[in-house]
Amino acid sequence: MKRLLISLAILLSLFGSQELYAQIPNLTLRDINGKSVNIQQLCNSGKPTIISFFATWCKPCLRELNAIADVYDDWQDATGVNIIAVSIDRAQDVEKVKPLVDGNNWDYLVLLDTNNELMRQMQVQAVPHLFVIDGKGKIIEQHNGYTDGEETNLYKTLLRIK
Amino acid sequence: MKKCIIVILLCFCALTSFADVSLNGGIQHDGLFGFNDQALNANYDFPYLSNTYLNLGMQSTYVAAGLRLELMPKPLQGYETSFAGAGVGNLFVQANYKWLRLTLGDVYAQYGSGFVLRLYEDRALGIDNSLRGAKLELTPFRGINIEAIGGKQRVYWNCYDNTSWNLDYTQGAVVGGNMELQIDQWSNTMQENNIGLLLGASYVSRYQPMDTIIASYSPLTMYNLPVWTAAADVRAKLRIQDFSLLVEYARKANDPSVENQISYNDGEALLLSGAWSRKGLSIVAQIKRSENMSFRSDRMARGNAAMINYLPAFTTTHTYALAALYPYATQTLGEWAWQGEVRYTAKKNTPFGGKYGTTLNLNFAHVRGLGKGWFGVSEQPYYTDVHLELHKRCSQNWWINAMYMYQTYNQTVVEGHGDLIRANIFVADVKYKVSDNVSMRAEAQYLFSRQAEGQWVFGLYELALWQKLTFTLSDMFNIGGENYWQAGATYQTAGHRLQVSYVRQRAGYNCTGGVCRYVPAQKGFSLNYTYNF
Repeated sequence: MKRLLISLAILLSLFGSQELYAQIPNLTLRDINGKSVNIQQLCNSGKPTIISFFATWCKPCLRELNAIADVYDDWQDATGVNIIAVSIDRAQDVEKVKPLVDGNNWDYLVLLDTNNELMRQMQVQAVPHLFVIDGKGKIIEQHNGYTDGEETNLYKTLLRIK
Repeated sequence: MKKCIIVILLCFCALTSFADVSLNGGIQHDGLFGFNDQALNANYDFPYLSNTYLNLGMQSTYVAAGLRLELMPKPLQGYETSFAGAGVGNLFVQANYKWLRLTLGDVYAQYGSGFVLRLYEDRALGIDNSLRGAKLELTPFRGINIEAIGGKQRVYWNCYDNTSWNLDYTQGAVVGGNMELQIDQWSNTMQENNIGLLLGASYVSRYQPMDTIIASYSPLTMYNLPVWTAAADVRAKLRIQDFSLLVEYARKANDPSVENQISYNDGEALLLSGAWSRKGLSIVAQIKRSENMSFRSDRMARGNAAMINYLPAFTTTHTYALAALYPYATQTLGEWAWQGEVRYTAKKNTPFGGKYGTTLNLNFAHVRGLGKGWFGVSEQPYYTDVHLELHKRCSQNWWINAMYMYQTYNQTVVEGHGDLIRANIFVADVKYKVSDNVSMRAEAQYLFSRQAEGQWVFGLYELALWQKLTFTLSDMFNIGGENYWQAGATYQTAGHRLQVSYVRQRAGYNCTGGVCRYVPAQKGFSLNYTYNF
C-alpha cells in the first residue's frame, strides 16, 4: 500500500510539474436531427467552444442551459462561442430530447451520447458537467455541478480565450 | 497485484514525456462518518465508510488507453456484499486507424435501446458490467457502422477470484455483433427533404458451461441448462421533418435461470415510440411490452450482478424528493408500459407567455403486468404517474417551477410488501437572483396519501455565493413520523467540487432507469469530492 501511495504521489507531482492538457476525443455522434457530427473537428474551429453534458431529468442541467440560453446571443456576438449540449439520456428517453430542446427554444447544437461513449472518454461521471475549450481543441477549464450565477464567470473565461 | 498497478502508473507517467499525448482523468471520493441511530435503524460497524475512484486516460492520434483504480475496502452501505474490494476495475488499450477502431481490455457498448446488450458503469448503483476481451468498430463506408464484441463479464471482483484474470473464456463468455445502416446518407433526395432512416440489427450470445439442476427428487426431474443462449434485436428509426418513429423488437431464446424460475420460454421486448416536435410544441407517445427479457451472463445471478442487457423503466425520472419517494423498478418477468408527453411553450410577450415565455409540460406514464393472451394486462396497475409542470421566468430576477403529480405505486409488486399507494404531490421551486454574486432557491413540496406512511412535507433552501459556494438546508418530514434533514455546503472551482453535509436520511431506493439499489437509513457527516483534469 505504501509503495502504491508513493507511486501515486510521484505521478501526481509529475502532472503538476508539466503542462498537461486534455484533448477532445475523436468521436462521431448524431445530433437530434440524425446528422453525424465529429466532435473533435467541431472543437478545432478557431473559436471557443463549450460542451455541456446534460440529461432531460437533470434539473440543475436545465437551469444551467436555460441561464446560458438567455445570454447566448450576446456571448456569440462578443466571442463567437459555439455551445454543444450533449445528452446522456438513454433508451426511450432519447426520444424526449428534441421535444425538450424545442420547448426551451435552445439554439445549441444538441448531440446524443446514447452509449455514454463521449461521457466515458471525457471522464464525466455526473451531470451537469461543462467544459470550456479554446479554438485549438484544448480544454481550458471544466466544472462538475452547477452553481447559480456561474455563467458570469464562464463569460469572463470566454472573453479571455476568444 | 500492487506491483502491477505501480508499473501501469509509471508507464502512464513516462508517456507524458511524449509531445503528442494528452492526458485526462478524475478522482471521486464519497465517504460517510456514520453515527448509530436506533430510531432510524442506522448502524455502523466501522467509523468511516467510503468509495474512491481514480480514472486516468491517455490519448494520441492513433492510440488511447485508460485505467480505473477502485478503492472500497469498507464501502458505503446499500451495495451488494461482493462490491467491497480494491484494485484495477478497468483497463484498456485502443488503436484506431481511418475507419477501424480496436479496443483490448475492459470494454463497454450498447446496442439499440439496450434490450440485448448494455455494458456500462453506474457508480450510484455499483454497476460495472464490462466485458474483458475485445471490441472492434468499423465504419468502412458512409452510413455503415459495424461492431463486434466479445469477452468475459466483470462481476464485481471476479477477475481476482481466479488465476486467469477473467480471460478464461471456457468458464463463460459473451459475444455480440451490431450493424447500423443510415440509409439517408446515400440519398440526396432524402437529405434535401429532411428525411432520415436508420436500420439496425444486433445479435448477442452468452456461453456458460454445462450445468444440471435437479428440480425435484420425487419424481426425479432434472434440467440440462443450455450452454449457449442467444438474443437478437432489430430496429428502425424514421424521421420525416418534425416527426420521428422508432420501432424496436428483441427476442431471447431458451434462458432458464434462477430469476425466471427455470423457464425455457423465449423472452421478447417491443418498443414503439412516436414524436412530433417543433419550436413551441411537442408531443411524444411510447408503448413498450417486455416479457422474460432479463439477460445475465450467469444463470444463477440475482440482484444487480451479471446483467448483460438493460430494460428501460418507462417512467419519468424524478429528482424532486417527494416525487421520487416511490420510484418504479422494471419488472423483468413482464410488463406493459405506456408513456406520453405534451410540451408547450407560450412565446414571449403574449398574455400567457409573459415577458420571457412560459413552458407547460404534461406527462403521463402507466405500467401494468401481463395478462391472458399477448395483449392482456394485469388487473392491478403496477405504476401510474401523471404530472403537469410549469416553468416560468416571472421577471428579471424571479423564476418558478411548479408541479402537480398524481401517482399510484404498487408496493407489493415493486418491493414485495405493502399497499397500492395513491399519492397527490405538489411542488413549488422558486429561484431569486439577488445580484450577480448572490442567488437563492427554495422548494416546498407536499405529498398526500392515505396509504403507507401517509403525508409528507419537504422544504429546501439553497444560497449560492460568488458562483462557487452553495449552502443547502433541507428537511423531509413525515407527518406523525420521523424527520429527515440535511445541512451542507458545496464548493466548486476549476475542476474541483467538494461537498460536506450532515445527513439524517431515511431508507429508500436509489433508482436510475429501471435499476434500483436499496439504500439503508443514514446518519452522519458525508464527504463527497470530485476532481477532473
